[in-house]
Amino acid sequence: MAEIPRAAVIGAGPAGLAAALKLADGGLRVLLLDAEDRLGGSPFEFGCKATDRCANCYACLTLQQIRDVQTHESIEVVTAARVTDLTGPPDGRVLHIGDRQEPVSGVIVATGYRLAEVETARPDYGLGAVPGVGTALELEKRFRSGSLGDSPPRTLAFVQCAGSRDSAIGRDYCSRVCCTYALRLARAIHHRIPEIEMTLFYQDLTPAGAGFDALVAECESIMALRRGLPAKVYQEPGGARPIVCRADTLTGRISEEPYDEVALSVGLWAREDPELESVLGLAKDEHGFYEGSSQHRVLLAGACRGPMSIGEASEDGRVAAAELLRRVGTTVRGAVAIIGEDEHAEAVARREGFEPVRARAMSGVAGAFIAETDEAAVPVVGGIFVGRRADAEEEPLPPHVRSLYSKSGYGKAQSARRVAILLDFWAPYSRIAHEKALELAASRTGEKQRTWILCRHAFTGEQGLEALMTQVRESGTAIIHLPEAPEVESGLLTYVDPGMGKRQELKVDLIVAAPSLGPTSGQLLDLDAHHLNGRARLGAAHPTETPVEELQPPSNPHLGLSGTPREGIHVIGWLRDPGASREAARRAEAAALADLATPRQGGRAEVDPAKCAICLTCIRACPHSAPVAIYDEERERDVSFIQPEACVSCGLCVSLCPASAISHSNHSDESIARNLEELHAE
Amino acid sequence: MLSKDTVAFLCANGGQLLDAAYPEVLGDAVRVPIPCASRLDVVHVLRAVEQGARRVLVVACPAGNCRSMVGPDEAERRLHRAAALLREAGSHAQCILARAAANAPEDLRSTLAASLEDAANQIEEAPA
Repeated sequence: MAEIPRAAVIGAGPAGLAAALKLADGGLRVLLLDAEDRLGGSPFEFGCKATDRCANCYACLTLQQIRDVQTHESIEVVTAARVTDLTGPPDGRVLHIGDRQEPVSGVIVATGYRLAEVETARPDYGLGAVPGVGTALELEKRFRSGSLGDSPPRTLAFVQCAGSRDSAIGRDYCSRVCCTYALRLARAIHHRIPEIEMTLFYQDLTPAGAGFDALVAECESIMALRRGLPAKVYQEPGGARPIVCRADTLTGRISEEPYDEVALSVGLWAREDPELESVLGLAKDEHGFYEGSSQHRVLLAGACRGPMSIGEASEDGRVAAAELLRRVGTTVRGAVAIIGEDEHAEAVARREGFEPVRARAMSGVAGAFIAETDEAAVPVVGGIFVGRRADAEEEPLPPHVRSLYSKSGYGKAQSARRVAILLDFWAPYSRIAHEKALELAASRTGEKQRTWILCRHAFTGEQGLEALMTQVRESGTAIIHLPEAPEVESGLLTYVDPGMGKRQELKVDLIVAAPSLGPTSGQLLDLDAHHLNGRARLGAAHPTETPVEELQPPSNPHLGLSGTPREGIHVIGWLRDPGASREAARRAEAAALADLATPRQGGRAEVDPAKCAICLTCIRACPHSAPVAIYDEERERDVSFIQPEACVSCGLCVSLCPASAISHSNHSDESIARNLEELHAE
Repeated sequence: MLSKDTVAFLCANGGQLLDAAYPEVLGDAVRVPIPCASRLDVVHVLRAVEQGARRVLVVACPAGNCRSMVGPDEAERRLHRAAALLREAGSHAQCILARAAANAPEDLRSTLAASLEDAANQIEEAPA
């Protein structure tokens, strides 16, 4: 019998842990290596930022991943490990870990990032020199330990972009995660210690995912958000407090204000490891992040490729693992339904080894899905609902303003002479709108063409966007930041210039703006009919009882970037996040396919048909739509049956069943009672 | 510090992970693993009190963090029901629901501290 191939994962942060689990679930033996003496990587340092609700930061998932890795029989963990060589022919690679040599069929590099060296890169911020100046991570540790609450500062300032978006230090890229991190931390601090007066200084507020507008709005009500970063932070003369010296880029006002504490949101830099880079033939981009390998079956995952959030890194690890599984050839991938025409999704599915089926709808449950096409019913392993922008319902814009997404807007703007592009004034902050605006501005190279982009925040949180923004600025496009929407008339914009404080008029030939996008109620009801809202229903019975906005799939760290409560069904595109950038949409697409690449373990709840009264309680209650009614020939009546592929073993149905007909193989009432007795006996 | 007269029902995705990483928070409490807070049944709480528990704690995920969406709400509903039955029966056992993610020992600590203080106040206020 052939030996099961082994893969190595280097780095045990969220990407490495997720990759290791995916590879092991896909049938490989996995060697998980980390240079540290513990697992978890950087997120191990982060705490929960929930208030009354989960903040969706994904940091808690790290502990779950560590447990799953440590208990997985196909994963061997080696900490304090050092990869010293990779030798042998492409079909017989041997990884050297010190003196140990391991044959491997592939390697995933997930070595993460390092924090910016702010002390040396930005000494004018006073880190390590001015009392009261620290990093946001240090602040979080004090918050979690309770010491911040024991002696809270009266005033606290967050300073964003410390070590990133800074061309003076050669780091002209956005670290992507720091704004969301700082805002979530500030919100959590306010929840516990509301007496602290907080201020956050920023260049642009850059979202890391859906729901960013709500986060910003919430933070605006509990703290001051002020545009313009400090030039320096110095010690109060004759005192001990840090003074923040800065120019407000919305009001033009220069200020020097003392704060009790200053927390720097430190940017993400590429980790440097010359030995590993040499051994694995890793190529780097201009900022030092890895962008590929010259070696056969050496793949990259997570923040070693560029700044990304914990959730994104975790999904990226799974995507890399699915890719390696495909290359090693250990998985058989079936047909997958793509609902909502999307040639890109179909092409990616095909490339990943799936047979894409363009479907109108789906039925069935995990393990037995049927895709409905115009011609036939086709068995599929799962389905991906693609929200296409073309199908989105646009909210109306003010008179004289055309949609950035339309031919009469974007199309005409390419040739018009004087064009104003207005962003995030009449719609939630949209990353795709910012991308399109920058691309439009970059394409307008005519000699007499002039372009103005007016926005609240500029978005540069994807690779290449910071450079694109610099390029359009240098080619003459004016990017004007305004706190509120300008007044709009035909061919005329009026606003108060933030720098001069004076009323300005801007005459243009065309005004385009990004409208608010949303799914139609019909599309949401269609999703709901597939039980995607997390509350099981009997088909589409009484759909009008639920407000339409509540029908969208829930967002939850356990469901990932694309998942839904129903196993095997994913939602991507604007149905998931109407403002997602192209890259974010692609990440969700890849994550969905990676999830469908390996079957999951079946659930543990079972119905005793003899006891089942077919009261439908379990069918109504299951958030995963695992129970179904089937005809029992022996009893000549319907009974409930729990589809193992759809069940996640939560046990909700076991507790709810009025006939005590459902049991849980690991957590029956008897075993829980026995457990109690034994524990008390001890 | 919790003693053995506390029974803690711990969900697999939250409480059990928290306890594994920060075992000092639950001290000597008797731990009962459950797959999700939604698996908690009224009878489990009553059985725990019958076995001698003076305090029953359920550690569930924060709202919006449950793998099965409704676990904490279901647990809260049943814990309330169990508490009402215990009161009717004349029991003074305390029922506590703590919503804490796996990496939030401070949330569990503060819920426990508040509940223990409440219990102490109730004892002080109780007629002699």
